[in-house]
Amino acid sequence: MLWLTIVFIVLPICGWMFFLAVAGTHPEHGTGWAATPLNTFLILLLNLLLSAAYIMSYPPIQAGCPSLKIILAVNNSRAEGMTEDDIHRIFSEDILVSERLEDLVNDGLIFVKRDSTGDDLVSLKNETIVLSRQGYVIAHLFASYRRILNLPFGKG
Amino acid sequence: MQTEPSLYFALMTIPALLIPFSMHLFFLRVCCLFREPELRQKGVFFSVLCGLIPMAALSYLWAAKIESHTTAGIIVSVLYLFLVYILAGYVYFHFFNMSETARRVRLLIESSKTGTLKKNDLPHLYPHRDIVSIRIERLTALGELRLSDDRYVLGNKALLLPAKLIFALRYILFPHADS
Repeated sequence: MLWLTIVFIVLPICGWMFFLAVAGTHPEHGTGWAATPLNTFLILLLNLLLSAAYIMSYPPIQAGCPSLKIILAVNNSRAEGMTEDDIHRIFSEDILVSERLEDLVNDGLIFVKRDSTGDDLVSLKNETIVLSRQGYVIAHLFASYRRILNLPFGKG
Repeated sequence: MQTEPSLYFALMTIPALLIPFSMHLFFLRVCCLFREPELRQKGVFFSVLCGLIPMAALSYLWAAKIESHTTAGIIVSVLYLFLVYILAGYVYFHFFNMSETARRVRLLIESSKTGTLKKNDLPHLYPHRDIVSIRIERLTALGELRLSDDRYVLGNKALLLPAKLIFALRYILFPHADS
C-alpha cells in the first residue's frame, strides 16, 4: 500500500512540480491553456482521486477477498448450490488470518515478538503481536471513525 | 479562447469530497437508519446516491451565478464536479468497507485494545469459522446468496461481475497466487 501511494500520488505530484519548474506557467501555444495554480489543483485532485480509487480497490485484488471467493464458488456450483460446510471448506483453516498477519508485518504495521520463556518454542506458537507506531495510528484512525459514526467496531 | 476556472469553482470540489461522508453521518446519527449490520453497506451506497441531490443543487447554483462561461464550458465543469463526487463516493465506500469487513483492520484494532496480542489467542478472538459465517450472513442479507433447502445458491448476482473482474486482475497481477 505504501508503494502504491508513492507510485500513484507522490511521484505524479513531484513530476508535475518538476514540469512546472522547467516549463513555467506559460499558455500552451494555440490553446489558451496555462498551468495556473487553479488548473494545477484541479488536475492533481483528479489524479489523487483516481489513484485513491485504484489503491482502495487493490486490497481485495492482493488478498483475494473471501466474500467474492464465496460468490464465485457458489456460482460454479450452478443450480445445485453449496451447503454452509461446503463454503467453509473453500478456505483452509488458518490461511484467512495468517496471510493477513504477514501483510501487516510486511507493511510495518505490526511486528511479531517471539517469547523466549515460552514452552512451545518449536511450533513458534508463543509469539506476541506488537503494534508499531504506524499500526497504532491506523488502528486509532479506524476506531475513531467508527466512534464518529456511532457504530461498533467492524467484525472483520 | 478558454475561460480559466474560478476560485469559486475550485472551492466547489470541497463539498463534492465531503458530501458522501456527511450524508452517511446524517443517515446514521440523525435519522438512525442503516445501523443494523446487514444494512450498513447498503446505507453507504444509499448515502452516496442521495448526495447527488445536494451536488446537483450546488452545480445549478454555480452555473446560474457565472456569466463568463460558454454552455460547453459549463457542461464540462459540471461533469468534472460529478466525476470528483463519484470518485470520492467510491473511495468513501471502500473506506467504510475496510472499517466494517477488513481482517487486517480487525487484527489491528484487536491488538490496539491491549497493545499486544498473543498469537495463541487469535483463534479464540477471531475464529476461522466466524470469518466465513459473518460473510455468508452479509452476502445473504445483501441478497447475493439465497438459502434454498439448506443449500446456498446465487441471489441477485450484482457482485458476480465485480468478483470475476477482481479475480481476473488478481490472476494478471499475481499469476502464482492461489485463486
